Amino acid sequence: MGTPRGVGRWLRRAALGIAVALTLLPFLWIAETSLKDFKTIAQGMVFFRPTLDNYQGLFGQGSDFPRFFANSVLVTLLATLGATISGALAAYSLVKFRFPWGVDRYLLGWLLFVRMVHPIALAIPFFLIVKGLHLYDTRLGLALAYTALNLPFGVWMMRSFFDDLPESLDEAARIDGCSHFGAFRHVVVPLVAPGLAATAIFTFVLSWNEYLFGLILTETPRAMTFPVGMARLAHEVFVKWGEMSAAATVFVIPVFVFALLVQRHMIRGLTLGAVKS
Amino acid sequence: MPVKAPAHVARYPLDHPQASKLSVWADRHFQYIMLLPGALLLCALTVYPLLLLLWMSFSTYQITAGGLQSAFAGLHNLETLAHDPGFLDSLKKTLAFVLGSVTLSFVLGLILAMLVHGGSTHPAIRTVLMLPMMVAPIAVGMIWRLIYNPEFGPLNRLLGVWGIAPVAWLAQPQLAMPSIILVDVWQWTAFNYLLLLAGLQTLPHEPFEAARVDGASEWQTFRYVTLPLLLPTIVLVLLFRTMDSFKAFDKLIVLTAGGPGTATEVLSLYIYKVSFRYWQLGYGALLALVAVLIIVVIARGYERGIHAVA
Repeated sequence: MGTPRGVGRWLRRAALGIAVALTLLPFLWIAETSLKDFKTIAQGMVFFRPTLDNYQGLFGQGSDFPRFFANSVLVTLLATLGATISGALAAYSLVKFRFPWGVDRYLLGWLLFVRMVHPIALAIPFFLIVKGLHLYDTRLGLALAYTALNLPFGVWMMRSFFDDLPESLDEAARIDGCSHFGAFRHVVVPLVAPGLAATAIFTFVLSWNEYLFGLILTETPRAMTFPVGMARLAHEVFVKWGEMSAAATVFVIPVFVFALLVQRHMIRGLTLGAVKS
Repeated sequence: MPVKAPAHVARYPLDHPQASKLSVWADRHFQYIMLLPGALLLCALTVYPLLLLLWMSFSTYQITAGGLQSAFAGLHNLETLAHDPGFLDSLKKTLAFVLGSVTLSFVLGLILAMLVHGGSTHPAIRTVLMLPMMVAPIAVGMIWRLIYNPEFGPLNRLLGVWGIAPVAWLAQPQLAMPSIILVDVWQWTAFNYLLLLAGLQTLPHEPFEAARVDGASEWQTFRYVTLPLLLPTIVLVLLFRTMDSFKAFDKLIVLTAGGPGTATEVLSLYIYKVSFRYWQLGYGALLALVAVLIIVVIARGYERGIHAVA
């Protein structure tokens, strides 16, 4: 289709402009609110003297937020490592080899099912399991849960990247005397490294954004994650809008950075590798 | 592309007499060894919990001084389900939420995709348009709570400029549902837009050429060429969106937590309330199973749809 001319062209630009504004304004508003003191927020002024008080309150002495932040980073990293590595290994095996009794197809089907399942259907039994293992309100318990949640994603996503590799690559390495593992480690992994990075970043964002399991499996700042702590601000009787906005801003910025990094693989990630762009 | 293994890798090929027994064994069972970590994690962390969920749905749980006490309850939970007006009510709320959110975000997403596809668009614009869906739903909920705030939220201030009295967006029973639907639409229009745009870009050129030669209007081209060709993508997008809206929880709990009253209490929120507010874990487990069944039915429905159009 060619570029439309005249009125149509300007209409199109205006519509896109409105869409961009509607997308960005809520983000800008929360970032702006995070720089306001309480009085300015209540007056709803657009022009004001910016202050970092909310950020100081959030990350200063006596606040639990530094702890929430550290918990989130640790749990997310563990889950990312667990799900990406075990996912990549399994995906390679599933792409490259045949399995008896259609094990591979059942496995992929099960992974898809887990991905579709309502998360609360996993959260309820997980609550009992974690209690039973004395992992309730620990970061390890949460990291295990997030690994489980992200494993289907890791396998399906990596599977689509392994699928893209030319058939004969590791064969050639085998002929050169490589073991299967040698071929995987020295030939396949370097080639699929960008895909591995994209999968890890997606997994990171998914775990970072997760709320329900954090809510159910933790109860004190010992293991509570950033989004759970942040949402508690909104449920207090006297809502501190400034600090809430500051928390949301800090929480969202890393996601934006990561989103820019995986832009190219966005569609593949969103559809579990079903659609490649 | 010729590939050569690095020299240090193949120091002892597997058929070499000095190759160790272990490495030969590992090489033979390579595919299972690779699968093992994932398969073990999967069994421990998904198969077992879902079996436990099944078992829980036939049990009752009580919190006592000694911790959580469970007892086998047979079909007790099923009986509760059959006489639970709260469940039916939450299903209705879910239906309203899902229908509203999926329809609106689809239409808007399609319009956006057509707009972006219809001419040259700066890459930065494409990127900006997909930002909302990367952000945690919980953060989206908090952002919009601020925007909807009746006293100093920007929305009411904007309306105030035209002399419209402040509106309690999230606290009025009739308004709360449309308000939360709007937030879901704001976040997920991006998803529809991105996938539909990708779909548009992979369509073949010839049918459009033919339509142009035949003198079809833009609307006719859209209605009789674009839409039918795009149908497989459309079904896929609707499938993902329906399942995700059905599972929505985070943003709803921070926006209304099901209120006012139970005006926005969708199934997710109801299951959470039953399980972790009233601590009826057994009944909650049964409700969660029902939610899983509903998702399977949705997926099956769309799967048929995909086969029908493909």
